[in-house]
Amino acid sequence: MRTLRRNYSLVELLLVIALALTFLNLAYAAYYHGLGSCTFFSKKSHDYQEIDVIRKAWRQFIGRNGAVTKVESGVALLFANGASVRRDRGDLVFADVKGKRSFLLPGDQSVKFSLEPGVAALELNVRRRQSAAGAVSYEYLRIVAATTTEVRP
Amino acid sequence: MIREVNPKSLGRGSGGQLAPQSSFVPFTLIELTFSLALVGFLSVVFVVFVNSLRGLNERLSDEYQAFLALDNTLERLPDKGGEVVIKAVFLDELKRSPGGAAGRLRPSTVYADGSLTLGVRGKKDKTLAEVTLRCGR
Repeated sequence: MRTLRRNYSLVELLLVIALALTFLNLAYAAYYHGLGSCTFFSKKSHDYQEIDVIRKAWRQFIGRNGAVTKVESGVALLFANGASVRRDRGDLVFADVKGKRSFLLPGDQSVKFSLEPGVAALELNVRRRQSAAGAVSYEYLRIVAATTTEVRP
Repeated sequence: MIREVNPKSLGRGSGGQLAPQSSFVPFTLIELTFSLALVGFLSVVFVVFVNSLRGLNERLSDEYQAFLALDNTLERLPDKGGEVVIKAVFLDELKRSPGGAAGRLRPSTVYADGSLTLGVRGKKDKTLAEVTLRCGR
């Protein structure tokens, strides 16, 4: 039987394999984090654009329908003229005499309505995850719309 | 003194010395050291890059919170009111905003030449958002 002689020892071979695996692991981690960050930023930017659309619609709706009469457990606003804003699953639904308009809430959000002197406040709690196994981050956003009552700071 | 050298026994990195046939070294110790140092340097660059992304993310959130606080202030302003009323509304709004409540955002108000500048400052006292209104005292 013929013996094959190599120019390196077994220890050298194992060391090179271990180093190569370490570098591959580092490269994969870099790729995974980079891709996760890019996706996260893209989603965040998209969320902000959607929230801007909701902000404008919210203010127009409150300005058009006047005084708010009731806040239903923080999840719906009822107006004196019969109009309402409520959360319906993943949508924010504006309903008045002109009809119904619904906006898809970006991401995994919770919504809360509250009344303050002179303003109605919409509080959004945006929940984001940086990656499939990454930590969850929460971001609270507050958007107010002036109602017909007098402003008292 | 002349010494005879068999060219086949010279391995790369042997420094011109005779190398035993069985322990061929494809690189020198200095090459190995430099390559490991380069990998370490690139790893450090990557970690710094990821940390700066995290900082950028916080800054982006703070800027948006600052923008919303100023926007909400403008929405809450009464039709008539001087510097005192505007300042009070602004400070109240910033206190209610999540960034202000957490202490990440700080207000700055400057009145000069009939104009009131409302600003929101973040980390390292950097101005994140600012608006100037014409108003009386």
